[in-house]
Amino acid sequence: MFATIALFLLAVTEQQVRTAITPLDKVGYEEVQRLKAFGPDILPHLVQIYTRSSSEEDRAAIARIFYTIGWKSPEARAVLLKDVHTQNQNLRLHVQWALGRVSDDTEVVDILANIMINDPNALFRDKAACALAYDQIHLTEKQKVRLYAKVIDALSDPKQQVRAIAIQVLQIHTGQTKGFDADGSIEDRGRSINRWKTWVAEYAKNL
Amino acid sequence: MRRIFSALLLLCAGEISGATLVKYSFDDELTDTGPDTFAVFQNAKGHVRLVSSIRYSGYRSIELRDVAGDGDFPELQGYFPERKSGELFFHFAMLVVNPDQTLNIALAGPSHFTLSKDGIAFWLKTTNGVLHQVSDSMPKRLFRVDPFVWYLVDVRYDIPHGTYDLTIHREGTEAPLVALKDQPNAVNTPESSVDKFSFVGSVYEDDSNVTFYVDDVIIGTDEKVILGPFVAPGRRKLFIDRWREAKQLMMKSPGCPPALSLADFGLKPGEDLEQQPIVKEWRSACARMDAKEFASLARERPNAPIFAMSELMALIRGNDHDAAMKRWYELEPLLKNDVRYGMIAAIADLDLAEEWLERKAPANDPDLAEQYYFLLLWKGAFSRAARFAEKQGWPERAGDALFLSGAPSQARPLYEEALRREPNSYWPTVKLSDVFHLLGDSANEKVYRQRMYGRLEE
Repeated sequence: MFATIALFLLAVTEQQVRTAITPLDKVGYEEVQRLKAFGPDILPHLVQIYTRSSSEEDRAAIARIFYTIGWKSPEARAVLLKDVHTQNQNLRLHVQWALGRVSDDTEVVDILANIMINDPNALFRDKAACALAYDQIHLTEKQKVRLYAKVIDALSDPKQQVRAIAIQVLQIHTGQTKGFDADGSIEDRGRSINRWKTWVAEYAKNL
Repeated sequence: MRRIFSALLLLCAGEISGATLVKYSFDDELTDTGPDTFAVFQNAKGHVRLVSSIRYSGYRSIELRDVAGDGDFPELQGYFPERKSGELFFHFAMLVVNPDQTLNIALAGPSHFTLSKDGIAFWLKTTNGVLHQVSDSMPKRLFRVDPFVWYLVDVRYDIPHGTYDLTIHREGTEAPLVALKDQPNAVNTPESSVDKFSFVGSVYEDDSNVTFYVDDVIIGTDEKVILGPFVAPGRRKLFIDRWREAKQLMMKSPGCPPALSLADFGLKPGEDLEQQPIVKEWRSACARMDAKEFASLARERPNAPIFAMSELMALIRGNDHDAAMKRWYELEPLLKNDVRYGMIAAIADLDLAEEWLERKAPANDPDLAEQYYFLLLWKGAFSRAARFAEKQGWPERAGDALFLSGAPSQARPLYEEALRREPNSYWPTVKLSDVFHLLGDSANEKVYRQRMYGRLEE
């Protein structure tokens, strides 16, 4: 009930938000910029619309809007997390990508890293790596240490694909591979992993 | 006190015994923006401007002010000839009004301000009031910045080793605040080249309300570098000269077309061309000029357009005109923006040139229209090329032909028309700046140049 009252007090109405994002499948960058012009009050409405929507395609479209907006929102994070393990491919990918752009905590990093390493679906693993590489935009330098440590752990994974996407994540963040080759020998990979571990320890020490 | 720092500055300048690539005290008239000086991006609510109220030396400095949440950031971005070897010296003075706000200062190469080889080489940034250097891909704390204090920064960047020495003096003290040696560059990568610098607020987060001042920017090398004179404000060659240079190179290349950049081979800027196996492979194939071999290499190397262009040249040299032209059209999506593409067509049709030039143009055949235009340009029949391009509804090409014919005033309305069709398009804009420069209209030269490179004013 308090949530309903809070929504009522917002400067922008749910109807205005609905109008701005209708039709959902036509919402592009320009439409999102117009929506953003209403200010952060749009977020609770978007969360409501997302929660009430029974269509997974509509939720995927709203997740994409959250992604493009890129504003922190604990409420958006909460509703997106409910769909982070869905088997609907479109919804799953948009949720994985949007999560880092609405949150600023390492729990999301842990969830995405877990998907990147352990999800049985290679596509979901790959796109979780993309999210870790590009979309954790609100993390502090300290929180990034957690991300790097998780991804460095993934360099030791027995699955070649996981090792390959993990080094891609590190390369995108740092511009370096430190000689890691996902197809290299165990000894060579081990030496490179040690270099990465030394690096992340120094990174943490410098904070 | 000021004398101490003047002495320090002189010492730093004295160390630059090779060549000075860039020197801006912002006191003189050297404030023309352009591709060989700097660009000023005012953007959103922030600004970059000359001020005289706060300066380190002389009577003016640059003020950069960012505004959080305005969707963009102001930037002073400067350019100098790419340095791939030797040492590079970077000196500047900075004063921050509100150090708790984010600012970024960087030296980068052709890969721009990215964490990659030939991307960012040197990077300073403030986070929560503390100045950090980004070295080996990690931010490393330097010191807490005091507001309204001038800091003098000196970098000696060893390009082959990918390391730098960093010295920072605080105004009023002789001992350096920072004196670091052999720091790995931003991505801990040797031979990461540099060709630009940047002073900005917050780039990605858009969360900065920083105001800071920059003065006495100097970039030098330990090697002698001959810089051509400025032929127009902010540039050492006119934008239109790109075409002339390419033609000269094509005429000197009887076999393969000339390689103009590393991108021809799908290589990243900064890589040593002579050491690349792909270049040796190409040169070896050029000795044979076998179209099939080039076609095969082009398929194997889809990111190296030089093989497709060489295939075209091989077909032309083999007098297989029809096959050459068929391939020419097939390659249009890949090569249409390459200045050599049109020239190759012109060379292919040189044997038709006399016929075409003496009799009528094959204008009714749309397939031949572009070839004909390029042939006319190649043969120096600029007026005919211009008339033909105009008839085809190609105002920019018509303008190019007139400009190349030495008639910039006639080129002007055509570039203006091209710009009306595609507002804010780069090439018609900068070519108009060239036109007005040659017409002696400095006000309009400035207007069009500044549309692309911004302006620096009080």
